[in-house]
Amino acid sequence: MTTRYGVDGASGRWSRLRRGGAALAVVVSALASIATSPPEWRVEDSIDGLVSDLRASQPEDARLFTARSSHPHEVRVDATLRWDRAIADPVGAVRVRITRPDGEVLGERTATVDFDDRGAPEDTRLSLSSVGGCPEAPCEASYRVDLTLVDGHPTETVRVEWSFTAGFSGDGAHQPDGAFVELTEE
Amino acid sequence: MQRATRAPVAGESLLHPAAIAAVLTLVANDHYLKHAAPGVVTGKLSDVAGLVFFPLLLQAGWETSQVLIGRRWRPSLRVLSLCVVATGVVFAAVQVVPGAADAYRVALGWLRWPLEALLAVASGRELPAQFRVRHTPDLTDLLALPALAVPWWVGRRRAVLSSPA
Repeated sequence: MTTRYGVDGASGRWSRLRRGGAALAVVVSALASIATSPPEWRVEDSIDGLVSDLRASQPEDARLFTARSSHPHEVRVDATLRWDRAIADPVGAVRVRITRPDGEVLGERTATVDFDDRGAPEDTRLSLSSVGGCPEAPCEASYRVDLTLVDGHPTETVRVEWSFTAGFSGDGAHQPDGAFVELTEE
Repeated sequence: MQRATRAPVAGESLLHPAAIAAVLTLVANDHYLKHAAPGVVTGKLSDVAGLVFFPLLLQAGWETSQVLIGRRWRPSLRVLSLCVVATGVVFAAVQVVPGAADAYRVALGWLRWPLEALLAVASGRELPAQFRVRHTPDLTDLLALPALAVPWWVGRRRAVLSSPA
């Protein structure tokens, strides 16, 4: 007998039991696939579109931010370093540093140029995260972000396109009532 | 070689003891063992369990779709191979490629949101905002990839047994 479930099909109670068991297994397996990774809520505020042009004559740029939040937060710099294509072999590096107003360094990272397969400089992505200066909640904290061109050619330039983000996260599908982050640039 | 003559059933490979054990292991590990005994073993156990049953779930999805549209089918070695390879590639990508990991977190969040919304409605809470799932890329998770041999073995055996003599 041929059934829509295949060829030479068995029929009767055993066949129905197998089909029911298989359907149940599919549903349970599908639910297990999506229900085991824990959900994570996240509250954040970000200032995008920041641009810093660094060169030998002006190798530093500094920005000040203030973050207010209902919970302890962390901060993050996401940057794209666009190296001067006119220089075939950029030798400089860009250092990104997050500090508190009292000078305490919360995080620092240095990136150098990457080269593509043809040996030409290509953009470098850099991300720097740091636990913020807010051990208690609610809190307000100020941050200084310094971007510095280190050891570059006298004519070397690099454009840094970056964003600054403050936020916090936790387990579960529901974020706490009244959770907020406000980020401003001074 | 003597072959079984009973007709294949869509998704039946998930009734294999290895698949059932993998699903039970995944649920028990993620909901209990990881919290009771956090460590390398429990950290990798869910990866292994997922790699064991997920290709069979994909294959089951294909077979069920064939049934639903009224098309005749057999357990296919080609479909099984695609499911195993796709599972391995996506699993590796979310451990290695930051963009893939983010996409995974968002996609699984979307898939999970209806469940959380149902639970919220049932318990009288507000609907949750769209969320991501937690996922930490870990290159050492790639050590779990050989577990893909299990669904390959289970599915291949089924395909051979149900192929025409």
